[in-house]
Amino acid sequence: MARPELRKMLENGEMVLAPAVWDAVTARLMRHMGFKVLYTPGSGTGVIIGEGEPLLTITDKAIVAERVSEGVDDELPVIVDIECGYGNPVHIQSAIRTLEDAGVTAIHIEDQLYPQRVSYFRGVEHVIPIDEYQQRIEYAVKARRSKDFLIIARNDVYHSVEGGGDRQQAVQRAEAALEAGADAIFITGMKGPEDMEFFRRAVPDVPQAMVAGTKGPTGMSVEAYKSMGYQILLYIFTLHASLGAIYDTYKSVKETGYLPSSSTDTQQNFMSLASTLLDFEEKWAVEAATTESGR
Amino acid sequence: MANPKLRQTLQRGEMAVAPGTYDVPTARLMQYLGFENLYVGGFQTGTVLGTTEPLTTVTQMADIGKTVARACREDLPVILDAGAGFGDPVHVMHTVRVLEASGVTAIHIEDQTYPKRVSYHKGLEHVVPIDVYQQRLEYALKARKSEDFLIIGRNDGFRAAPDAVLPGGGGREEAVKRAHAAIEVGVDAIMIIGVSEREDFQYFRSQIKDIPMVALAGFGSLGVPDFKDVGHQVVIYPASTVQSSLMAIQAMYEPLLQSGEIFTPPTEAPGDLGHILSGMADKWEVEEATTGG
Repeated sequence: MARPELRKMLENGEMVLAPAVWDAVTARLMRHMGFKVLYTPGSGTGVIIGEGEPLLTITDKAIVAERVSEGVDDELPVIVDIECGYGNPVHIQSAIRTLEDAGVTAIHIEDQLYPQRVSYFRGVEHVIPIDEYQQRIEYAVKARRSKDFLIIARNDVYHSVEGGGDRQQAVQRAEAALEAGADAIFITGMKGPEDMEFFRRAVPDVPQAMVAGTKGPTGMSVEAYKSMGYQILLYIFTLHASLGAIYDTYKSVKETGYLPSSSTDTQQNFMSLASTLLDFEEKWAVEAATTESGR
Repeated sequence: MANPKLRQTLQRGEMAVAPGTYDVPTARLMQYLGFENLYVGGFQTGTVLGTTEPLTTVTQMADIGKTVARACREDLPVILDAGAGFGDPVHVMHTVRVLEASGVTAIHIEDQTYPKRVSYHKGLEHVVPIDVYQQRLEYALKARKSEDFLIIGRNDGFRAAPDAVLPGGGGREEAVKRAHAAIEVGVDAIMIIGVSEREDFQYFRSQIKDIPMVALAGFGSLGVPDFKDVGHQVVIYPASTVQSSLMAIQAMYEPLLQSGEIFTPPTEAPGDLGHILSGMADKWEVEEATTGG
């Protein structure tokens, strides 16, 4: 079931900070830290299946979304990147139903060519014509059961081969998506604050999403995004941080035979974190009352 | 299919170092770093699934075993934690069949009570009587199809809590007795839990002869050269992977919630690690030759 909180946050003008996750424990860690919304990006999920985003299926997406949502007892809204929607309008409708059944609350769907090209990951991006894109959104909106299930219309035309840096085309696609019933807009390929200001003014009165972070030409603090009017912030770097840390840990093992030195505090912090994330105290209490009576 | 490389490594007397993995990128990353064996541990799997190890099923373990084994095209042997074997001898036989079919190469089966208790995670662990343990292993060995599928007899007799089975609690001698019972039925290696001092590793090695032994490594533990010194040929990492991951994620996101700023942490890893682990370069080549760049 789609959770109503995300729609309410958007209506109340609250900032939506959505960190990328991919399994139960990463989802649970974010909940523990105080995040209220979760995100499963295509890029990260693509690495999780080991083939890259363009090779993902809607099944992969649903499996990851479901385990993330179950990981937090379905308590937090999950936003899922469904790229092009996995086909033509009939496939898109099936994709929406699959994800809504999986407990997802919002999806973003874009105008890239389907099947998606791997060249996208080196900046060569192709988009479909605007009328086909509008149909994608229209049929996605028609397929949802709950009004709380939100359709975020992404368009990549601005930095695509076909769009060639034309801002107006991105605005037109955003307007076409809104006409078809999209709940929010997500324009990619912005080169800096000037683009952000332009698109915010050109596409008013609807929540807009951004890939967020402090680094890069459009990187800024949450306050700065807020003042520029970007309400949905998608933080995609989680897997990068995770794999980077694992890399450093085991590079040391490979080179020296030893794990990197780690303070006793770090060890204790980890055990305490794991214990919290896995509800050890609760389980121990049940055991103390039953199989471990008194211990 | 069990990969014969692990048996061969052990026969040659070489070290088998198996870092912990639980999904495709962790498995591929270890392969990329040059490791030749992988480990799928119960604690780590239970953590990633958000369930804890005692609530993890053999179905889930087989699923992760398969994911990890296939991530590396079954080129790397995978050692997997089969816990207490998931039941009585009939269940243990099923466990072995399911796990062998998943494509992993070795499993360890222990003497903890089944169902496993969560109290184990606070150092309060219980073991079954030695004859029950021996039967677990005996039937596990009967159930395997390939001789390359290795069964490691793990025992927790060293640090088990005092109870009806072991009124005085665990100790060195109990662990040695259990190791001998495991060897008697034909296990391929021995693993004793709760050992951290060099002296204890040496003691167990001196009492348990002519069979490979498995050591657990973690932050602050002995390292591979030390384990080699004390005659423990297989080194597994049951928690360091998920620990590195979760601590890094937490450290990265804490400032975002506090001040609205976020910085990706420094790492020696290549910036395009995700692309490397997804085989992106090969796919770009195919596209260039077909749909175009």
